[in-house]
Amino acid sequence: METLSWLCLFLPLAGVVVLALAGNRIGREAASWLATAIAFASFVCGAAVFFSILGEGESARSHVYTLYTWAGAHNTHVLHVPLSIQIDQLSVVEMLIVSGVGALIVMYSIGYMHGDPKQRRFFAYMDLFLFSMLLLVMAGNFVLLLAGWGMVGLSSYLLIGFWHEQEAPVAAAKKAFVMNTIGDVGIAIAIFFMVRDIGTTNYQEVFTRAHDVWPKGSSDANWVALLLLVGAVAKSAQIPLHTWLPDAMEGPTPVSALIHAATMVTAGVYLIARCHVLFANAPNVRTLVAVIGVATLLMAGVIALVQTDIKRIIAYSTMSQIGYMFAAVGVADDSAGMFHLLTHAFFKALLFLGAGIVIHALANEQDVRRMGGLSKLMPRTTALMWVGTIALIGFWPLSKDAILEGALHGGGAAGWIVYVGGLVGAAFTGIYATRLMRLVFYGEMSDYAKQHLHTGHGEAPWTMFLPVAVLAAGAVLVGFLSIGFGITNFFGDFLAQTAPTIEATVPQDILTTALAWGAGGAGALYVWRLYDDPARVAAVRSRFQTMAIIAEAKFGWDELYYNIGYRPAVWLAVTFDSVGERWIIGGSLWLARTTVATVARATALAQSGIVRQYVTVLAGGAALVAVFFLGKANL
Amino acid sequence: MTVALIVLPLVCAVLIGFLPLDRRVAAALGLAAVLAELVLAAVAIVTFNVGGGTQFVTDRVWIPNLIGGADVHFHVAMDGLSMFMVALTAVGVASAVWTAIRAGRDRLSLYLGLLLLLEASLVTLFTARDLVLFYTGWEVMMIALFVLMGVWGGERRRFATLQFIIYSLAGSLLMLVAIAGLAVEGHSFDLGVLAAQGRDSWWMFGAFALAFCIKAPMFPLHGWLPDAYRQSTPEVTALLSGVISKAGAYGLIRFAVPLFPATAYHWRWLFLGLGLAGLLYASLVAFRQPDARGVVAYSSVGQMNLIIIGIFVLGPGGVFSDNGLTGATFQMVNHGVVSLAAFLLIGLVELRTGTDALKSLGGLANRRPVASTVFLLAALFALAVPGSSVFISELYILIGAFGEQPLLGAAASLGIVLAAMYMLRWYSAIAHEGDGERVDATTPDLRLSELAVAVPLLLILLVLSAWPFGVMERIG
Amino acid sequence: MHIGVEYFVSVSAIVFGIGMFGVFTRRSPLILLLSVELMLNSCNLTLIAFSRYWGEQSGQVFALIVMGIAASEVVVGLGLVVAVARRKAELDVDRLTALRH
Repeated sequence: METLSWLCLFLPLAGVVVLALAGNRIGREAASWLATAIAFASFVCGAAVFFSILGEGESARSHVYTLYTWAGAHNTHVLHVPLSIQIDQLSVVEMLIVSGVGALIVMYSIGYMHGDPKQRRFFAYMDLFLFSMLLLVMAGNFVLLLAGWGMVGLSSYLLIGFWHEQEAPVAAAKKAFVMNTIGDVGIAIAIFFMVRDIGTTNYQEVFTRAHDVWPKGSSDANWVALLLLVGAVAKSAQIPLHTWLPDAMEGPTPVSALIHAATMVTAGVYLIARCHVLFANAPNVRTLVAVIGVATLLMAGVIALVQTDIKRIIAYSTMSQIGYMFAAVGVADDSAGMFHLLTHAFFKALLFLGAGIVIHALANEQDVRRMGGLSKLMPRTTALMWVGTIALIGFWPLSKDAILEGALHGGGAAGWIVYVGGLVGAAFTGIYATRLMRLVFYGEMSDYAKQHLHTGHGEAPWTMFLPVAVLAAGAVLVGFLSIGFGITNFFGDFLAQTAPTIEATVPQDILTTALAWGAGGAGALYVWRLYDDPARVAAVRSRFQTMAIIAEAKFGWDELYYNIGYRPAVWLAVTFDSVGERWIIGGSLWLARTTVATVARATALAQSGIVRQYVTVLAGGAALVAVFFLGKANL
Repeated sequence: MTVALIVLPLVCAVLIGFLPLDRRVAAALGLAAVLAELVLAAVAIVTFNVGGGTQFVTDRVWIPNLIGGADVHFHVAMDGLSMFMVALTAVGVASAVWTAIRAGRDRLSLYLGLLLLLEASLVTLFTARDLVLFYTGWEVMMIALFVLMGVWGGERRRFATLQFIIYSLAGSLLMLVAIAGLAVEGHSFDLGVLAAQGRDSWWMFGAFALAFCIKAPMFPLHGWLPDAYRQSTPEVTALLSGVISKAGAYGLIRFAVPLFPATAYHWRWLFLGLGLAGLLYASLVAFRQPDARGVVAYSSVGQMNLIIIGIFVLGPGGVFSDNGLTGATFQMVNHGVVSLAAFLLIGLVELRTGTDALKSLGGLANRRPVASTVFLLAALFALAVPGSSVFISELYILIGAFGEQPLLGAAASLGIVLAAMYMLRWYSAIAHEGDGERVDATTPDLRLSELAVAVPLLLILLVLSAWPFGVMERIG
Repeated sequence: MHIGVEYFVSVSAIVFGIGMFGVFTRRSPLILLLSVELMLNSCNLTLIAFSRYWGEQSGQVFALIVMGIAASEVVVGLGLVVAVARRKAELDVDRLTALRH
């Protein structure tokens, strides 16, 4: 199992090295298939690890493997960082999601990126991402976690800015990287606390000793949890560090599916679940997690209502769904959060890849107003998108319900916020998800779509279609892992050792599911009928004029950051550059230069070039010396 | 071993500099010399006994009874820090010599001779255990640099050199006085003997620290730097930023603090405060620079100030912080290689476009896959992407700083965000979007002979990232 | 007849003074060289006188060295004078300040 775990981690890295060294000596198709094969091989290793863990006793499922000492020194006072991975229920679930969904999406990319001049580079970056993400979820200590954390940010930067000939992707990539760096710094400072107070960053020792060195609710305990939360919030695009995610849609669609829906953006949830001991140690911060989750899920749901770019609708939906996961881990129902993370990985990747098929077919058009009526020409895509939409609204799998049930049962005051916010959010979800389907696949086909839609060779090549179909099947099947109602909770039981779980009662389950289905269904039905008549859409919009404007302005976060973050920083930089460098440093330089020059000129005056003057000075000097010594001799 | 490392470049410097050699012979001899030096440095690293303290010692009396009854010794030795600084010097000068030969500098044999003289002096000062010997190395280094900067380079090179001379002399003359003072009081020039006496003298400490902090440079003593980095040839700038700045930090670690532990401890907040101010200040200024060299130059100032923070996280009695010093020394190696790579790469851009003004550049990544990858890697290491060796060393410095004062560590961490901002701007301005006005479809990708310098430097960084412990366990 | 060392020293001082006076006042390089020669020889006289006074040889050796140096100095000096005379009609040390720059 140890070898398999290491293989699972390092196979993608080997792929990067091979692709980088091979360069253009291998064909584009060969490079794409190589990357895909490697991703699948990594998944096979991950699956093998999963089954061997399943075969072990419940209490012996956590393993730490160390390859070598990564950083440190002989001096034992220096922080020692082993290159170690921790394989347990939590990480193996993430390994399966990352390598499994990842492999499918890499395969999908073969068709999507076909013919791009930088196709080989794209696949190398995808494998780099898989390695980084696996490092993040498998790491056995916080420094390695941070390494993975930063490297997924790097891969994300490279892939968002993949089409770097244009301005927008480059700007979006830089924004994503810098905002994620803020999160990295948060985790780094949390690490400083650990090193100072515990002397190590290995998960097991930190979690065992956390209670002793940071008493529950003490300011240090709160700081550590809060700083980890900063990292989680930045990576998972939650308020207030969420503004990079919609912009990140500038990247190719498979990237949006893999990084910005299925895996990387949910890393924050994984982090909080992994560090549940530290968050349990800081109850106030944990409540803050729930509040942030609810606020984000509502805000993103509202913004998604008014978006017109198909990928941005799904991006805001992602933000909103991660809000649910944050809400779950915020009320200490970590396994429900992880279950939603799992189902979301399937159905959101499905939605993105389905949208990718549409975008691909429409010659890179992403505006939903220029689509419409596609269901007639793309029946299979439509069907698969419906599977994703039903999952998103929350009819099946019941992962969103599980979050709300847990909040109702054991969430306390924060639980009520989550419960009510979650139900309202479910209605929003029903509205925006159905609106997307209604606008893209039904109604009148737009002129643009008529001109550009070319489905002569089927809707998409099989390499694109197969992964989407598998994801759809997965989205349905994965629901059986945890149904609730006292029927089965395999997933929660499996994770119970590593992540806290809340078991709600059957009546609570029934009530919640009824309410959630009702909210989602009502929203879906309402919007379906609404779009029958364009005049009513306009009427609704004018009734909620203010709200729509705020939503279209994305609640003004970008402007806020521009004004309180970017502009002051630039002002400071300009001031330092013009005042500091030019006047103060430049002034000191000028002073040094002029002093030296003045002294030099004064000394140069003595060099008259007239020999007799020199001789006079010489004689005078000799005379003085003589007088001095004669005087001494007399005394 | 150590003596061979000093004598080899020195002899070759004299041969190449003074013999009327043909250009090509001089180039071949110069290249052979730096490669042999690299091999020697590699042998030293391989044969180094981990945990064995100071090794490769040579100690002979050089000038008996100079002043105060103190003998000047030719005393050289290497511990881990010295060894990796020597290795960094060997790598830096080797890449500089190769770049100079490729660029075809005027009066090549003299140029190579001076580079080799610089190498000999740097190795001397990194290995010297005697104050006079160290000072000799320090001054010979300056002289070689003055000529390299003043004769070759940009239009305003004389002006830049003059500023550099003023700053350098101000520092090193005071240091000379302090060395004499130490010998009079302590009756020795030997580092070990003097350090064991543990003196407390604000003016001697100040003189040493000033010389080293000018060279590093510490904020606000960096006035000479922008002009010097902009006017020198790319390889000299690379050496200035990659290796010579490390001589300043090395001096602080090896001399200023151990000779005056109590004084250093007493004044540590001056250095910590200025270091923090310098880190944030230079990082912000780097964000506004209009040229590629300017960005990396100020980034270099920021990083050196971070190293100074790592050095001056001192415990009572002037004891270095374990994590801080490990990070600072490792960062000296990392930052050395990173700035060598960055400035040599800028040199390649200048060779193609004739400018390093960011507004005239752009689009280098289009259709030029090798350049795209190489520049990207350099930028990523420069911004300390997590997982890289640079990240590890910065993390250790910050851990040390946080242990001293949480706010210091937290504030210095902001440097990471700023580094991301200015390095991404740098990379995007060079590589991204459409072609800049000085770039077009005919601008060539990197050639094999150019990769011969860039790839080894990046490989070193990749290896260090995979196994930082390899250096960290030896350097401590 | 024994002549005391004080006589030698007096003569030497007088000759030295004459030489110095010449260096101070004259502007012709030739006379300047002559005056310098006088000063050097006065020193030689002192050296030899004291050498005999102490009964030692080292003073005489020094005198020989001084004579050697003086000879070479005159060679260089006269060479310079001739070279300057070829270029400039006027030989005036106060105007020969080109080396200052």
